[in-house]
Amino acid sequence: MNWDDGTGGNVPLSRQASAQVPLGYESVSGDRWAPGIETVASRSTGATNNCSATVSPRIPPSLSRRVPDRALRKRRLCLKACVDELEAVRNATADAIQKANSLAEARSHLRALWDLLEGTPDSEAVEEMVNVLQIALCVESPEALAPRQLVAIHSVLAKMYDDPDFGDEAANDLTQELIEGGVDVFREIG
Amino acid sequence: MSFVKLDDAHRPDSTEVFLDTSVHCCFHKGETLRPRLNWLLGLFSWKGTSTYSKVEYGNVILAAAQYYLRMLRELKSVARVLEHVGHVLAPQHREKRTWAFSLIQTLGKTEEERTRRAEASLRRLLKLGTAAVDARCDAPLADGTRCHWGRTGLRRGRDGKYTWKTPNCKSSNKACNVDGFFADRRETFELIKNTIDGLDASLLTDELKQFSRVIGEALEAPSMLLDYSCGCKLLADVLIAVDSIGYHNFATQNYRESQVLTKVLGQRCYYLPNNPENGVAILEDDGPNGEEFPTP
Repeated sequence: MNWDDGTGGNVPLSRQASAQVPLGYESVSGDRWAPGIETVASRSTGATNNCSATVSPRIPPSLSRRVPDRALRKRRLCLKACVDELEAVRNATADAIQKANSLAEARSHLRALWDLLEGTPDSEAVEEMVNVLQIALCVESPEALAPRQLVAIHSVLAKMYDDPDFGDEAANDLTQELIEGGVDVFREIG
Repeated sequence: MSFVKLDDAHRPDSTEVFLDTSVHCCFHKGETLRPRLNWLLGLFSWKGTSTYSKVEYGNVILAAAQYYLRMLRELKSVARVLEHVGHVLAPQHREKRTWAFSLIQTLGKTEEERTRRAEASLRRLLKLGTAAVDARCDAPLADGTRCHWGRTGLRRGRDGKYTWKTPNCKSSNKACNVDGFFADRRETFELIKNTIDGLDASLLTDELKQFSRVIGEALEAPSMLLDYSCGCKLLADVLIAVDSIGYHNFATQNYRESQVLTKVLGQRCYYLPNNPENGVAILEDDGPNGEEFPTP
């Protein structure tokens, strides 16, 4: 191989012929061989813009959230534990002592979540709901909670577990669900 | 007419009850009322109310929540707020002494935590707004007046803070149907006025006299009711009572006015006194067969 071949060496510079690629009738520059890349031709037709509108930039969920993933995981842990304990309280076959223990455990998980939320101004709505639930579970014995109240509390906790970073509107829905379930959500300020 | 204290064996004639605003406010009046309130509501399977109650609920409960929240942020301690309300607040602001924060004292380990909890509860109450009225009743609510303020009185500022605005509705900017409601039920309002006018002086209260006067003015020009402060506000209890037509049972804490209104409307009046010794009472025309209510 001659080192001068094709390397520029001492061969005089000349414009190389561009590769001729047959384009289909409907093709527009840039859309077939390099989709999304704007060319002079595609700019004129707006093809790039059309394509870019269909593929929206995806922001990873972690970036759209206000609360770090680690904090959310901790919240979920507390809520899951609380949901599990409440299921034990609702379990008809469990005896009175088991139920009382589970209720106490549920309360301690909520307490942990309450402590976790301290000093998080972005999570006001979550803090309000945890406070409401702590008040709802502040009873002498599990028997003081009617089945429909337990169902409502359990359902609200499960929804909070699904999304532990919610805002005022969701908190309003959850509060309404508790009230409709017969839970006296504002007992503490009465 | 006399109030008779109910016993546990009492069964209402029908399954529905209409709650006036005073009953909605009872949910925030502490442990002395709560068990009796729950017992009373447990007698009925259908609970209704008027959308007009939302305005009154906002004016009483949400306005008080807003006041307490502001004081908490200012004084930074629930104990100091309670002291302020108990000792500094002028007697004419008695309605602000709504809450005792009794349970918060039990739950919070430190004053800091009690304050944090009180603030969280008050914030939640304020944000929920008048939806609390909907949540405690069966839908749809009676909506004769199509009260606009009950739906829009709670505002959210740019800073994200919620505020209950005192109504300032004007007839020049009609936003509800209170005049149309009055016109549709003109005969009922007229009957109420005639009944009040024919009452024995011992039964007349300032409020009943006011009802009669305002109904008289509205009979001439129903649109006067569109002005909140000199119109519908002065007739609130009557508007709510007339909105309750169709219900056989009416629950209230305002026995003086309600005993007249329920009689005109042919309803049974359930009364929830503040004093726990008096339990729950019902208005009997004659021949009470329960324990007679001593002094309502």
